[in-house]
Amino acid sequence: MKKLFCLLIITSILLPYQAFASSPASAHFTLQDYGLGAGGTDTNTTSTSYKLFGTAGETEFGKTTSAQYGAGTGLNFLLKLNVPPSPTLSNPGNTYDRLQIVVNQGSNASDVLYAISISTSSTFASNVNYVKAGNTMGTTLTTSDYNAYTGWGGSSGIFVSGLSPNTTYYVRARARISKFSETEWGPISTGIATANPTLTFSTNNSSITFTTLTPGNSYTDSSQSTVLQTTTNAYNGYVIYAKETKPLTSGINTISDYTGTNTNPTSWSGNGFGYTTNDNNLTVGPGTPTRFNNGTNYAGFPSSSASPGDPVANHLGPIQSAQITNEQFTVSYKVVGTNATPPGTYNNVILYTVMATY
Amino acid sequence: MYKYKLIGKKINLYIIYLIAILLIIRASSPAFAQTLPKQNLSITPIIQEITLIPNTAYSYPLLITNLADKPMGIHIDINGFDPTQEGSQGFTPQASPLVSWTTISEKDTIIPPLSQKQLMITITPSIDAKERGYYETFTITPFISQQQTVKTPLVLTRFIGVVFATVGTVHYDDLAKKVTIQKFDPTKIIFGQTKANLSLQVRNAYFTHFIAKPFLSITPLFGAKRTVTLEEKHIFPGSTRSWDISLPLPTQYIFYKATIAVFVGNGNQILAQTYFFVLPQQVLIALCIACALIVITLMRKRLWKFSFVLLKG
Repeated sequence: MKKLFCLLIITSILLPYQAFASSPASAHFTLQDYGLGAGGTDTNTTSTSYKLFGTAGETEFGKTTSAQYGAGTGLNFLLKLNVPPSPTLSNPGNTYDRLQIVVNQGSNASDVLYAISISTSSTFASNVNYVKAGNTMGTTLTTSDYNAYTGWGGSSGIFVSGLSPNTTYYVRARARISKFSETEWGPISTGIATANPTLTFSTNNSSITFTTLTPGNSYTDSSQSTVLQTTTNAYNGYVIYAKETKPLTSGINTISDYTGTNTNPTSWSGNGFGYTTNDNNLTVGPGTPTRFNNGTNYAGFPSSSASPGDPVANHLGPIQSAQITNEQFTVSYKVVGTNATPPGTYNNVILYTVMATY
Repeated sequence: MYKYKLIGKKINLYIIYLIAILLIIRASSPAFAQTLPKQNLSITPIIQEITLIPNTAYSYPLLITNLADKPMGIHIDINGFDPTQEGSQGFTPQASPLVSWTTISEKDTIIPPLSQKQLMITITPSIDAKERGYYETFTITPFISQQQTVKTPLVLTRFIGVVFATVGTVHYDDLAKKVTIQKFDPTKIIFGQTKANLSLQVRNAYFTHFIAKPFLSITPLFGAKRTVTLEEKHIFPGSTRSWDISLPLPTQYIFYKATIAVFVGNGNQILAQTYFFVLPQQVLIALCIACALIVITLMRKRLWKFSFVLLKG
């Protein structure tokens, strides 16, 4: 009986101390109830071993303060997260359908989750979307759209895609931890605009002048070339194709095309008119990317009926951190005749076609 | 006498100056008759993605900038094309309703040097336009406006811009149901190297195109997951696109799980998972030695007898 009574006493003492959440406590002090009426001062809510989470205070003898005690000025939320500052929004690659977002943690812990909202309105009054899984945009925000700082790419951030070209966007973020603590939306970032998809292409010449082919030069000239220069912000990069309108022709006479092909270019052998390229990473088209062996293997130009021709240079994507600017590739030509080649002025048209890939 | 000599000297000097000025003018005169203008153009937009409404006009500007210091004529052709095959960028002209709906303010124009020209593209789908994707190309070809006697091979350039249009509303949850991962296939056992080669194929059975965003995750047994973002690609209705991926792997793990998540838009994704083994060179050598030791242990009696016979014989 005595034991049962002791047990009851102990239980009745311990039961009130069961807490659904840990109570604010130091080594020698635990705040059991920290609603209105808990402790603190009007200038500080913390000490070495104590921190106030709730408001404090009561009046006594007509005063709300004493030398060691003062009432707080309002109710603080329990364990509220810091409202995250505006994410950093930028367009480093001058892109037209995506922008880079870097979340700013605002001194929150590493396990805090963030949601990102994006809009074309500087006040988020309309056209509000949310960055979803896969860094795409959607119109609704769900729990699965919250992600930790590392999940949002950390200091490198992420690229949100599916944006419209030539449009200014704004972003903001909110923080959440567990189900019970979420901040309001943070401040709105500076507006950053997407660009337009652009392609600039130029050549350094518009005609090729071979030296006169004579026995003195073994009827050979391989000194001519065309430099192809490209600038683009196309995400998937670009490809340049080449073809000729006809073989080198003078009246009824022609110089045949070199027998090597774009799929299988070869070290020069024999005669004809052909080309090589110094693009040693020609990934478009069948054949190995290094098939031209840094400008030492040759192929003949495809005929006019081939559309748009054979690939001679490319730079594939993804292009998003920096656009392609003034990238150059050189196509070099070689013509070899024989002493049986009829004399004359031979000409044709070499057509380079450039396009953005997708 | 001296006075006349001085005047004579001055006149000679003036004549010399005049000749020099004339020579300078002659050298700096533009040689249109001798040289062809180089092509140096900038086009925007080079890719245009639009949503169309039947019987409603959609207009946008096509900006062409002549960056050369000489005038440049350009000609524009509009053609349909079929983008349904992997690598089908041959742009063989094809019939397309989109072409018949499209008008351009000028198909032939001359752009002054260092100037920009704006041409208006207007697309008005017919009232009975079906819900689907429509595709066309703009081919912009510079031409030389003056008559030339062609004596040498000429170099000409051409641009191809593309238009991807959709009539209808895209519902991404429906789209996700119509997209399938047809192949997600790493080499199952990789010997002697620490690089994984994976192939991915995604097929689109939806009524219009979308942009596929694949994320590849590789998780070694007892190791940390590593996620790689693959290049986004347009996938057109009824077609398949492929990715070939080569990834270096850490040397200490053998068993890997590979997961591919292909996002189609609005957070919707399709998933596939597979497994593969990597046996680096040092592990292979260790395995061979271990196998040899096991064989020797199991067969030691026979081996001992065989060697005894050999020595005796």
